[in-house]
Amino acid sequence: MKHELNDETLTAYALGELDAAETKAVEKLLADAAQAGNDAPRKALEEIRATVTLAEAAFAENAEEHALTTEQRRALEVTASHPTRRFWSRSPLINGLAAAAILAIVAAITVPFPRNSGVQIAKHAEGIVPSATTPDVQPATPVSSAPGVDPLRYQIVSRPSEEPAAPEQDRSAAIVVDKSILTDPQETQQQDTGSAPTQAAMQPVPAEHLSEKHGDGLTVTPDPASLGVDSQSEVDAKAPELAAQGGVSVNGGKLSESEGVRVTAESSAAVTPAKPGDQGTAKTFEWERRQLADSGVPSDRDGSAAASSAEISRRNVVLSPDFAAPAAPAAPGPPALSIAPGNKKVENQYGIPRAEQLEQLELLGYAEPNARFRTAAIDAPRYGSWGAERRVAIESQGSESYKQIVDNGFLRVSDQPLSTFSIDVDTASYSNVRRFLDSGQLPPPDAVRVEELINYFDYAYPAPTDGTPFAAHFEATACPWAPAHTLVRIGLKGREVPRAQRPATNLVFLIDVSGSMQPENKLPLVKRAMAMLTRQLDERDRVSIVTYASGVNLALRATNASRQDVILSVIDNLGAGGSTNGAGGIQLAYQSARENFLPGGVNRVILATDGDFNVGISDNDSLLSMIQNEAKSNVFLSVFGFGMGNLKDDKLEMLADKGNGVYGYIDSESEARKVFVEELSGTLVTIAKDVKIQVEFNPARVAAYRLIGYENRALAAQDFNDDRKDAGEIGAGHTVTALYEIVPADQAIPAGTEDTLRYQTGGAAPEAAPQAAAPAASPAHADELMLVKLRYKEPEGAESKLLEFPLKDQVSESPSADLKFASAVAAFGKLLRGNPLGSGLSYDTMMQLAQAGLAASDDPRRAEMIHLMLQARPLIEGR
Amino acid sequence: MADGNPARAEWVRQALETYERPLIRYAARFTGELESARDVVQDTFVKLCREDPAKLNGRLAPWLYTVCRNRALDVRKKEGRMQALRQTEAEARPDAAPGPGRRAIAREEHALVLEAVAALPANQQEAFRLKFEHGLTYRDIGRVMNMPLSTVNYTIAQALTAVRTRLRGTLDWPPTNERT
Repeated sequence: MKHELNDETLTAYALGELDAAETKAVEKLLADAAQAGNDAPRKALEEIRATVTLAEAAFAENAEEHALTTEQRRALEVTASHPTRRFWSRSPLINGLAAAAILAIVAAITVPFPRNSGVQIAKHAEGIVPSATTPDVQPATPVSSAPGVDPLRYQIVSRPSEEPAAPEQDRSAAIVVDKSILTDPQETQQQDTGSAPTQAAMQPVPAEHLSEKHGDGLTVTPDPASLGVDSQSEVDAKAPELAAQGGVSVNGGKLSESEGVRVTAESSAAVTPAKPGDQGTAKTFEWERRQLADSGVPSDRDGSAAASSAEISRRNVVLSPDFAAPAAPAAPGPPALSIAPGNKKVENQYGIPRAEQLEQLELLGYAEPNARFRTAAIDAPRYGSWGAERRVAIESQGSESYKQIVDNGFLRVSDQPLSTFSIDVDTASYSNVRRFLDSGQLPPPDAVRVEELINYFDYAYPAPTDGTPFAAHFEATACPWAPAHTLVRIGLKGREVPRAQRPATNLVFLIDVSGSMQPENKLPLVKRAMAMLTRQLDERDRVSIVTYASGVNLALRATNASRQDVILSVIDNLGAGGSTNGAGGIQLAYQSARENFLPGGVNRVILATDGDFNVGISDNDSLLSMIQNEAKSNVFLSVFGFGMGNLKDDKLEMLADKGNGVYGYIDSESEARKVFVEELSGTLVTIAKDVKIQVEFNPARVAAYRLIGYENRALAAQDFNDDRKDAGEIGAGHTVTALYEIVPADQAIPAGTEDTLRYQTGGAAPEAAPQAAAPAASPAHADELMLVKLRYKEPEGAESKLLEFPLKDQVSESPSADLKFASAVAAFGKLLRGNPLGSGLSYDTMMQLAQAGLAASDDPRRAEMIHLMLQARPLIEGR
Repeated sequence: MADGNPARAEWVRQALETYERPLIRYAARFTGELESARDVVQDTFVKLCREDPAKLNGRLAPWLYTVCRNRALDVRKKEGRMQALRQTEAEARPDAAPGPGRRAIAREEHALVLEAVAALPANQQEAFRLKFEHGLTYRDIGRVMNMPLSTVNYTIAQALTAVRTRLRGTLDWPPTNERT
């Protein structure tokens, strides 16, 4: 009991913290004081109350509203429902799995893997002389498969070079005499029928071409003063000195701070060896490239004259859909732009008139806008109902997120003889790109994953016939955008699994039913897609459905798919509503999948969400490791993004990646049909997992290479033999295509396109003689271009198997329609990314390549691709 | 849910609804940043999941704040981040709360109050915040901060006096009668 009106008493009184007796006592004291004329206690009390009011208001108004992450909440709600089981990161099950994983890792380190078993194609004796009819795939040399990097095939460390690299003329000769296609036996049989090499394109290179382009490894670059002066020239003119000081480079005509940042070329204009005297820094390359590009602009600034000249030359030229126009000799040497200041009509070796070049330059932002011309050379694409049904209004890009992609540049074989990556059968990027283009927008560059564009399409690679999970096919040809380069296609084709032989499936649909899923292209489309999928299933299969929004709900316990009516009615009754708060949805989905596990069958969680699958920062790792652990116990996760505006593209891809599943983006009913009906086996049935590709390039044949796409699938060289390293899966019937652009040993690396080392400058000067760059080459394999190594695991296996395919240095004169199409898609994707592969390919020629690909297959998706190219053209040109 | 205890799930959900955000604010005062504050609060609720609702009836708030505080102190100790606000530090950093909270403070007087609170010694500030920001009673504050009721009484009175004294010089203060 307080007996005086001090601050403590008054405060407690004001706050109602006193009991009844105390309160009464204080009130008496206050009354007494007032009676005695002492106003102070009352004033103090008022002041306390005012302060309290103010403080409470200040706290209330400025309270920070940070909630738990969605994932934390979901985890908690699961824990709340299963109080004995703790959140997954602490779950005994997961701990057990982790322990098992550690044991497995220890075992993997100590027990060597079995060697090279069951290799499909390693049955031809080594040393077969390559000829027009002999497949040049040779048996693999036994290779140690212990973790670490394999010994290099093409380089002998201990000896100096005994065999100089093939001189330039030799290479030309090789191109002339060699037969077109590099493939395995099956493919050779198919391709050999009816592809006669075009002799016209095999003429020896005229000497002046070589001297003009190549001479002694130099290119005459016109003096900037003689170039057309456009508005950028002043800026550009300062570039060399600024670049020389370091820190500033010219990028697409803009000065940009780029210290420590690799400059991504806006355009890789033409292939040119560097000017003498340059020290070969990327910055200088950049300047070279600009000069070269500018030199294509008419110097008289007379746009109309240029345009008319362009039109005239255009009318006179019929472009061949083949890479090389029949009349023009295929030749090594810089392909794209012959440099001719002034307004002359010039053609490059590929018969592409200067008008084309002009347009290309304009496309790249280097030409005067009024020099623009358009042609309607491409027929309207033949496509029917495709596209009509998927035209949905685009939503704001709002909170979509994409992981940044830095385009692969050229890598020197002398620096990095090995190129290692994981396959990727995802196709989400294609449908996402299509969504943007359909709405009249260019996609954000990082939404364009070129390999996913290429892999969206089926290619006619023969399936394996000998029981291996997939067949590998190779093809090499002159690179369409840089014909002096070689374009090598690596094509994998997964074993087909006929519908009747499809293994039983245990599917859990994990469906986001939060409020944001209401729009027509989200939950309603999810429901149609899941219904489509359900109708493909039968009495072998079981389905459960888990939904999450404010809470988790097991909407359907595992139900045999013969009960279609039950499953379909549950799907039909799904409604969106509630917050995205909390559901341990994925936890429950995995639990359901485990409870209904089908040994030897397909056990898969199928997540359908608009992307707000919010994995909190602190939870990211535990979520991913949970998914990874479930994948190890053969419950895989496939992720399908729906709708837009909220798409967490990067996150969803990562989830599927860790879950050994596919990541697809469903923007339309037709896309749903493709994924859940037409390609159901591929979507559901994984036939090989952790498929990795490692290519070793022969320095005697290859100066540099770049992998087109697969940027976020790159692996370290030593990861190839490391079975602990996760990689991509291939589904039944899937095709996977990877393209390498190869700079032959006698060619210089295109300026400004090389991935340079950050901390090493002096060493690898670009004008260093290519021959010198070819170190001790192993004479045993001197005629090989590269060695392709594949590793994969059986779907439920833990140990990888190795396949090896050496490829001879031969190029096809008549590339397959598939390769034409794939190269067009690659070029288009890079153009969308604002980082063209090269200037040797005009938009029209690119479209003609795509059309050649369409003509050979009549796949309506290819027609759609051409349609997208048409849609994108004004957007790209207007950029 | 497939199995488990729906009533308990609902109980935890309601507790989350009410206390999630205040607890994160509270924990962030100890940890100094948001992510570990979230982890602390998640841990707190994970513990709650294993409690008997009946046992905690009527003392949920002090239980949550106590567990949260102990966990936050553990984290702070473990991470070596001694963020206790000494007087001088506090003046240099009027708002040690994590980032996004630094929105423009709408009213000048609110800013002054928060400034004054930030200038309080750590234990006074904590008690003050538990009382006026989190709405705990003296008794609960005593439980959470592990001090006898009389000390709570004293501490809060001290803090409140310090704040109102500080406001005196800066505002039209003490307020006129109509405010009370």
